[in-house]
Amino acid sequence: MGQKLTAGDRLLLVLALMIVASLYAVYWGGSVYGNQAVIAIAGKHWRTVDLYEDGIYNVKGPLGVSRLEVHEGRIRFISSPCDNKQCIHQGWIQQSGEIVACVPNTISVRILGPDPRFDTMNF
Amino acid sequence: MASIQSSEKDHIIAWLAALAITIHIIESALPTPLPGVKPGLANVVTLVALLSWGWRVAVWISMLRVLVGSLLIGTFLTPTFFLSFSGACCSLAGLAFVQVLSRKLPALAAGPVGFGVVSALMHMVGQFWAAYWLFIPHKALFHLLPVLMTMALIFGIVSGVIAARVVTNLNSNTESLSKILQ
Repeated sequence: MGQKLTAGDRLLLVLALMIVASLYAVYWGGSVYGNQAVIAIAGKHWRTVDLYEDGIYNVKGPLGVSRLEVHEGRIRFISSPCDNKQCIHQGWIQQSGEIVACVPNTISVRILGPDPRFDTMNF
Repeated sequence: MASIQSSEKDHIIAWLAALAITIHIIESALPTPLPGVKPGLANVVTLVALLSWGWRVAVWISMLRVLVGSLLIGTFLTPTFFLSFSGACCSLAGLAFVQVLSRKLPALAAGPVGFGVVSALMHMVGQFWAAYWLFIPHKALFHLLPVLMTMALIFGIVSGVIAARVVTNLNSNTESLSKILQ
């Protein structure tokens, strides 16, 4: 066998695998929406923000100012002085443990879980 | 005396449906670890029908299998019947969708394995949907879904591979096949 897998077969297999994997993530992952996010510059804690207080944060990194937007429990990069804008393309994050980072500007954002074990003291 | 004319296609449908029903009944006698998990080997017959004779023949065989199979096992109009009926409907819808896409985009045309996977996954979706809406409308049921879909994916690949073999052998034995069907 194996000689007859068409391109369409491969595409369908990949899609099927992705669907099944995402089912595990959705129904077994126990994903929780976070309430707070930790913003760090060069790995150092800068500020913990409340995700239910809408606002814009200007975070100064080595390249310049990155702007972060908080809106209804979610957070995202809206501008950053990096080249590829990977951080902006990642879009909103909202589930605990999710991370978005602008590596060139060394700014990272991580959503905290509702579980208070991991608070800023861990940094 | 007037007699009903039967075409060669009717004979093919009858033969393949009989085969599918037999496999269906044998499978229903196998013990399963989880409700709803079956190898689904009867689906191989539907796949072969689709690949060799087209979607309409596949619909006939699939529907005859569900109907006659349930009558013979004694599950007609019981929950089991509705589960396999909605599974078969979704599966056929999925197959039709993939076939239309394959015609529109010949570069990405699906083969037996692709059809097998889509058919098995859609069968499980239909079955699960029926189980959820008709019988157990409880959110906890969704925790079973990843496992059920994984099994469906595996069995879908297996039945696709078997169907590919069958179709190849059928093509090399076309004369003897049409002799049987006469």
